Amino acid sequence: MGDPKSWTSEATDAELIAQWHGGDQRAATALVHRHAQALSRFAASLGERDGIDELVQDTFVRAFQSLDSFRADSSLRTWLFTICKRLVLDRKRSERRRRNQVELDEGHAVAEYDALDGMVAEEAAGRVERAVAKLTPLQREVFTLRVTEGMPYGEIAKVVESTEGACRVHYHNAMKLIKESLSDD
Amino acid sequence: MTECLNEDLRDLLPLLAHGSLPAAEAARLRAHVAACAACTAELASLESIRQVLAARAPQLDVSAIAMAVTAATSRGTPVLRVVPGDAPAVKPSTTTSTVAPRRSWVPRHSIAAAASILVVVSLSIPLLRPDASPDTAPLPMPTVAGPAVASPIDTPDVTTPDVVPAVAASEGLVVADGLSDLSDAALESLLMELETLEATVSAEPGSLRRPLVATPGGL
Ligand SMILES: [Zn+2]
Repeated sequence: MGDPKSWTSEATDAELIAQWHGGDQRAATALVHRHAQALSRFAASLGERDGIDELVQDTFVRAFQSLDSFRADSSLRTWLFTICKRLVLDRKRSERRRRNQVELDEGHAVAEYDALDGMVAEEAAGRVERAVAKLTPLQREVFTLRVTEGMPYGEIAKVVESTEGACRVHYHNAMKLIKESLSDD
Repeated sequence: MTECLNEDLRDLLPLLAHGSLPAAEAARLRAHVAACAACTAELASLESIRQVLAARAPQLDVSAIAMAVTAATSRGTPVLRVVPGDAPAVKPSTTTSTVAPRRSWVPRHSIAAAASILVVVSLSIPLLRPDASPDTAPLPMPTVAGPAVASPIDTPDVTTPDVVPAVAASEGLVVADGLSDLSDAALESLLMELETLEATVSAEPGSLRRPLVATPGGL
C-alpha cells in the first residue's frame, strides 16, 4: 500500500522543510521522494496523461521557490496538490488556446478522461475506469483524493476550493454512482 | 443489499482502505465491518477501485525528478528538463539509483551556449597554440564575414590541409555556418568536444564550470 504514513507524518515534512531552509538539499530530495508518486496519481485523476513527470517536477520547483508562503495549517501534500492543479489548469488553458477550441465543458472533460480506457487491459479494471469516468470532474477529483490519497475532507476542500460539507456530499454521491455503474455492468 | 445506516463509519471506509486511520479507530471500524455486509462489500469495492486508480498513474523516475528539482532550486537557474525519448523518464519500476544519465539533463539552451562558446574557443586556438608560428598558422580566413578584405600580410595558402590547425578552424566553421540546423546529436557531440578542449584551453568558462547536474547528496 503506497504511502500510508502520508497523513500522520506532517511533523517530518515540517522538519524537512526546516532542514531545506537551512541549506540541506537532501531534505528536498526526501520530500520529492515522499510526495512525487501521489502527485502522479493526482495528475492522472485530473485527466492528465502526457508529461506527468514534467508536471510533477514543475510542481516541486514552484513549491520550493515559494516555500515561504506555505502555511503549516494545511499539509504539505495538500499544498503540492493545489500547485499541481494550477499547473494542470494552465496547461489545459494553453492547450485550448493553441487549438483555438471553445471552452471545455464538463462533457468534454468526461470524454477526455473516458478516452483513456483503451489503456485498460483487465475487464474488472475497465469497469471501474468506466464508472469513474461517468462522474463529473469535481466528483471524480473529490472521490480520488478520498480513496487513493486517504485525505480528510478538510484537506480535500482546500484542493478543490470548496467546503468540507460539500466535499462529503460529492464523495457520497460519487460512491453511489460508482456502485450503480458497477452493478449495471 | 441494504445501505449501512451508520454514515459516520461508512464515511471512514476509504481511509481504512488507504491505511491512514489511527490504529484504534481502524480497529473499531473493522469490528463494525465484520458485522455489516454493506460495509464489507463497500470496503472491498474501495480497495479494488483504489488499486485501479493508483495503477493508471505512471511510475515516475523519482530520483531523476529529485535531481532536477534540487538542481533548479539550489542554483536559481532555469529548470532542467527530463527529456522524454532521450532517456525514458517513466520507468516500469522505481530505481534506487540516484545518478541520472548525464546527457538526459543537459538543457538545450546550455548545449547551444556551449556550442557557441566552442566557436569562440575553436577560432582562438590558432592564436593560442604555442607551436603556431605566424607563417604556418594563419587566421582561419573563411570565417571573416562580408567582402574579402585585402590583407596587408601576404597570407600563405590557407587551403593547404597540413597548415590548417587540427580540429579547431574546420569544426568552428561548421558550427558558425548553421548552429540552428544541427541535430541534438550533433550539438551533444560538440558539447563533448568542448569538454575535451576545456582541458587545454580556458575561454570564458563561467557558464561551463557550473555543474550541469547537481551532485545527489543521497538520502
Ligand atoms: Zn456498515
